[in-house]
Amino acid sequence: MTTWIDSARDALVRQRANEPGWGYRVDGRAFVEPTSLASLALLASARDPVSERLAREAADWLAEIQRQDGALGLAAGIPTPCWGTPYAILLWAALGDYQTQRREAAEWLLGVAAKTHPPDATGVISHDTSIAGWPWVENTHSWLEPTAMAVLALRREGHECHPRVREGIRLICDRSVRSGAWNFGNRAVFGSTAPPQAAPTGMALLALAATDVEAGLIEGGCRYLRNALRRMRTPRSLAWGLMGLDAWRERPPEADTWLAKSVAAAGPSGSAPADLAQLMLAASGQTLGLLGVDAFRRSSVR
Amino acid sequence: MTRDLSSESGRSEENSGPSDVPERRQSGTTCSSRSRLGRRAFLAGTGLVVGTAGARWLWRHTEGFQSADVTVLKAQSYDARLEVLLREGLDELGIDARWARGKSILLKPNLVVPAKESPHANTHPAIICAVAELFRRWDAREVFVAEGPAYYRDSRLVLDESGVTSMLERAGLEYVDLNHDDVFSAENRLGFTGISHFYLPRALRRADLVVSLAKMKTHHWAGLTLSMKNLFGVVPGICYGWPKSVLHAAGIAKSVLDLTATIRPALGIIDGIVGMEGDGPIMGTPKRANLLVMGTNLPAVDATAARLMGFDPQRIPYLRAASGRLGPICSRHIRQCGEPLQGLVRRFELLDHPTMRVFRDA
Repeated sequence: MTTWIDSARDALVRQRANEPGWGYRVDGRAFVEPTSLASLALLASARDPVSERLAREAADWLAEIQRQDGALGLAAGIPTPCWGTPYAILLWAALGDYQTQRREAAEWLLGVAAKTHPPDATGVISHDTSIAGWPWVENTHSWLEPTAMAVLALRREGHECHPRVREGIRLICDRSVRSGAWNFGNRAVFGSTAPPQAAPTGMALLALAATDVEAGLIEGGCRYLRNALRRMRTPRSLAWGLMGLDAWRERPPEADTWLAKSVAAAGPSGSAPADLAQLMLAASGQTLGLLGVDAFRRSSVR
Repeated sequence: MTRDLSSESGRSEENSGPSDVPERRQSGTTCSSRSRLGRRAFLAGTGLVVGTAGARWLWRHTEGFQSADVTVLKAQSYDARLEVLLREGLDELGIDARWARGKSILLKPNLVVPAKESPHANTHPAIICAVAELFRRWDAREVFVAEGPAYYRDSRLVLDESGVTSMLERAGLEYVDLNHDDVFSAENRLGFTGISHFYLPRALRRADLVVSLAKMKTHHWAGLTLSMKNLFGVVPGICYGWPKSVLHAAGIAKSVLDLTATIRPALGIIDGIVGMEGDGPIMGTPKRANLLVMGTNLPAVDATAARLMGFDPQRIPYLRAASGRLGPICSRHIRQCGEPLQGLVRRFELLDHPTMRVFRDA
């Protein structure tokens, strides 16, 4: 019996761009983020010769467009911004290869920091603006998603104890809203708390997996996701939310049903590559291993 | 063609106004230089100064001899009569079916949050639908909706929960996520920010006409967000982030002008039936104004809307900077069509914070 995952795999394979990667649009050129996610999704769904071949071709393409300083831009011919670099690291690491590319990318990530400002004495901005995470665009402020993905990728590369990673974890904790959930990275502005969002909360929980951060933060994030995901069927929010819950062994029993409904809402051929990839990653029991979270858990137990 | 985005953002403060736009130095003389230059040179130099200053005064006073038409209409609710109202309003501007016939038209609404809790934050789906239907009746080749929300990377969630998805499906309208579109590089036509080029979504190349379908709202950084600020949602988040930090770092007012000049929307329509006051653009409270404001010159449209909201456009930095550059903001240079402004002004309150006093005295 063909499951939605089989159909999604087939669709993803068909949607490959002219370059050996995937774009944001079905008919678009390849970009770093969807290429990395699609390749990871193929590996997560089935570690078979087709998945390996397509993932390696994508990884080779990423290696080709990697800058001399180790960063990756958005796509071939678009050298900045470089927030996609962690995604490439995660794919290369999942393939267990590309040591040089991973090392250089990680070194670049460790060497870059977002713009900081002294803490806002006026109280307009409630988060600590002096903590340096990672920005979307170089020389701008830190935000949640690029910081979380950088932390995840750097921990994957064994930089758990690096001061930049510790600072990134500190930033993630600082940016939580209402004790545990997260949004794009604003806690409160002018005294108003910005609402939490599922995908950033999931990414934060992934990045914090197996760390010793305050338990209330994790419990709050999981509680928010368990409630919010009941009504969310959009791929991005549902998928990252579930992956975040998985990271803390809080996967709801209805998760597979929700994922199937999300796919059905668009139909496999009607979904963009990144959407399919995210849903496939959330469906697979292999994802946490590919992202390095299983290893984080093992090392924290020791 | 490659662009280093990170090196091109300016270092200006947010909400910067024309005070930080570089001005040519005035030529001047001193007593000692006068004796060196001679009487004739002194008179010539003085004349040049007076002439230059006079020209500058004249340019500012006449706003570069620019004028524009803006239509203001009363609209009591988001009901089926909207298409008729819109047709009447555009007719006042001399816009009819010829404007749309055979064209690909991109409708750019302001969709910022999943709006279940705050429908007043987004351009109402009924407005989007009515505009689309009108242009379809006018035999547009295609009409599609496109947006790139700045605070939610999951734009599908924003559309689903604000009722836009169901409207799009009923109306058979395509939606393009501008945050995740393919991109091309376009020269910044104005250059206030110091950014030489913008990455723009491929959807702009597909469209013959871009229509800014804004919401009438206050904004805690910019003062107001109307048809010009709405264009922040055009630039892709994959290039500029969530929120679009590069634009904030370069200066909101400057970025608003540069994007308006580069994207060149053909029409601005502001949904002021129920707008937002207070802590806009997201956390404010509903404010009913029962108005639609529209025009082909966006500074004029926004200046008119600002007046209707109880603001002096000269106090809004991006409007002050736009004056004479992108369009008129002075009422004497704007031909008011439709309803007269008197009696329609509804004071939109700003956030109660000292930083808001730059936009309006308490």
